Amino acid sequence: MSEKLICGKCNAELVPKTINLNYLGHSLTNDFPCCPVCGQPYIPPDIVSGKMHEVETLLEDK
Amino acid sequence: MKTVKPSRARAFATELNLTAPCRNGQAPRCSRECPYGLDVRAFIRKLQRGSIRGAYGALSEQLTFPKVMCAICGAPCLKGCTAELSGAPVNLPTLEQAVFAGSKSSPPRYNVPPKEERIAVVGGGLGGLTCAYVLTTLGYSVELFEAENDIGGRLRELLPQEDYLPEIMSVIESESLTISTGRKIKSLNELESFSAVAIATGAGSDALGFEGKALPEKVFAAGEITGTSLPKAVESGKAAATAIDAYLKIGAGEEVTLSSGLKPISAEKTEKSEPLTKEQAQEEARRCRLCDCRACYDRCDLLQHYKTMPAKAESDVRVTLNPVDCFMPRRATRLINSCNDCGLCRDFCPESIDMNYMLMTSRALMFDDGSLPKVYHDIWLRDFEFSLSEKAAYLKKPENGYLFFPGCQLGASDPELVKDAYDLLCGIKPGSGIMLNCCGIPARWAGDAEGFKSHLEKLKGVWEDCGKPVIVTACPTCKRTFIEYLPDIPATSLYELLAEGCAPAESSGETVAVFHPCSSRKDGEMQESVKALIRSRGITANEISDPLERNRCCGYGGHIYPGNRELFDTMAQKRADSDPLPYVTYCANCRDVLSGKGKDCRHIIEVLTGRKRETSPPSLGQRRRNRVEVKAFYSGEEIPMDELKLIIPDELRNKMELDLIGDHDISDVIKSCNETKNYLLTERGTKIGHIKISKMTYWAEWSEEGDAFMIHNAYCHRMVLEGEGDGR
Ligand SMILES: [Zn+2]
Repeated sequence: MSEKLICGKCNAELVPKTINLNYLGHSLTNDFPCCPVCGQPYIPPDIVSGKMHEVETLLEDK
Repeated sequence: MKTVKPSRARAFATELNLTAPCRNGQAPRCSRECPYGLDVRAFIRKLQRGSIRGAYGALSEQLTFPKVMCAICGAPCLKGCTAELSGAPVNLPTLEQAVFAGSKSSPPRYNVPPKEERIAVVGGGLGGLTCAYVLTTLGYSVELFEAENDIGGRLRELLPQEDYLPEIMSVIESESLTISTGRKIKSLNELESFSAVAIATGAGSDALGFEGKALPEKVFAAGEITGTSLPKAVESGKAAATAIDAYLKIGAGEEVTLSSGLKPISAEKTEKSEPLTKEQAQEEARRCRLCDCRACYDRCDLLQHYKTMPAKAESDVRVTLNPVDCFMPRRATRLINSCNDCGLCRDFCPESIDMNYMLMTSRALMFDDGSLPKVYHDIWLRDFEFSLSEKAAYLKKPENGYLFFPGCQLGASDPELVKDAYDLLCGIKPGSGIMLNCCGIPARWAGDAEGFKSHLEKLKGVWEDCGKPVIVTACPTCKRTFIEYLPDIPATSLYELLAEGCAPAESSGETVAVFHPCSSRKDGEMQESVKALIRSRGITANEISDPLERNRCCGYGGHIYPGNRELFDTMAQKRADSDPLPYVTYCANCRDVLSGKGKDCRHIIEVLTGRKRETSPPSLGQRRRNRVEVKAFYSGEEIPMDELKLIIPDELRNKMELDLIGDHDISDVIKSCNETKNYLLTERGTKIGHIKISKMTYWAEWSEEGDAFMIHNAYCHRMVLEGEGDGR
């Protein structure tokens, strides 16, 4: 992760953590930067417009 | 005992059988007109590739005596040719003649083991000859008796001998066939030694004394004596041979009674033309479109996008609605959500197959059972809700029995359009009321049948409260919704009222193409009224030049964008390119979609007031603010938007529009994150936060600039983060 991000609530630096994503009855896991204290995640815009969009489209056609 | 109730979607899928009468994939009109039911496309395909031999093969495979049969059919195919619409029909007879002139081959003969039985055929016309020929191919020995000195029967009257005799002889010639000419058979007694007899003595003959009588066992009839036309004598000859074969093998037979007093059906000679060269024939064949019914396909962007035809689409829908049985993916989910609800398919289908009904019903059933991705319509349903909220909805009751209903999009597109439209109405109908609301079509398009129904009931309640006025719509979709779903309510369009008694003005030299919205297609009065209004301003009103492009949806219909952005873009661009003239339309969505594609497109109200908007279509956020402005204008009280002041760079703004992210969404993200401190701090000094609004998750990156917020990024997704919902 190139960007350094700090949780606004806990003042802690984000670290990679596996989180669950749900869509249309399907569940997937992936590593994203998260606050080690409260768990607040960060999904970067390039993941959203790239990989995540691809998976969304795939699941909609399933 | 517990019984499992099948889901409504499943029941619908099981019953679904709309496309059975679909003509796609069936014989084209020329083939249906042809007395032989010739597969014309198979013949033409060979010629288009330049194969004369192949083309001859296609004919001889289907026709016992190709040249003779083509000479006596009278060419009804010419009447059935759809190329006639664009000039002359494809000249099939000339092509056939070119093929006969260029090929010497005779059909192959297949030898089967000879059979013992001998069969007599009485009559050497087309029916008798065919019967005799087919029997020899089945292995029987045949003796054919002809009373005259030559075979041919009625062919002798119609054609010169060289046009039939050589071909017939080359086809029928066989060691098992004996032809006795000049031999008139008077009675069946003469034929006792034969196992079966076919009588083919022609229409009007005494048929060995059986005219008007039932034929005894072992005696059969072939050709015109059975009442057929001359071309169909061949088919009848074949049928007689088949019946004789069946009789001799298993003793089965149907009792046949001959008609009496038959007269020959007049036969028409096919006109002969100058022989074409191979190249000319190929060129003429290339004019053939190899017709297949594509009446819906040619008018439906959805079918074209999926390169599918009704029957295939239906089978995909069936599987999608009832996936349990098949272990197949719900492969048509997106297709079901890609229908614009325009109904062109049904209206142009020669069998009235209603794909529109099938897809919209499927959408509603999937909405109902939760299998339709809710995100496809979430944004529009929130927009719908907003237009009904106290921020945007308004009612001023009419004093004159006329209630103006501008619809949810006209004011969103431009508040001035509502004000101008209302002023125009009040000019002719003083005391008219105004109702800022929505016809409810977004709910239907979302598949929310219950939501649609309950909204219609509310509209009806308001209408009753207002003393049952005439509803005057500005949007053709609103008018269609009232007429189709609230038939008790008298509804008309503003344009029909304004056009009453208006006269064309002197021409200004300006010409426009009228872009009739898809929802006005069956509304000739509205269409004509709009044209009359355009002319009343001295402007010539043309139709879109390509008839196939008229009344097509701009892409907005059915709210397909979130589910199929690609199809939306294709449609919008195609419609913008339909005609080079500037457009005038009377649907705010058509105007915004088409001008969004760079097309010069005005709303009819702009034409009437002479005031043309120069800016590009408003953003989603602006559309909400516009509605609030219209409401405030009429109610005199402005309800605050509760929106933060945002600064959005142009490039980001464009991206947000493509992703359907509104200012209000971003404003809500910032408000919520600032309140809960659920945001991230970047090294750049900006904040990043997200919230889920309804079915979508929105992200923003912002920094504070005085009392405003500078937006650095905004994006959204459909997948749901852990702990924030189930993503259904
Ligand atoms: Zn934290």
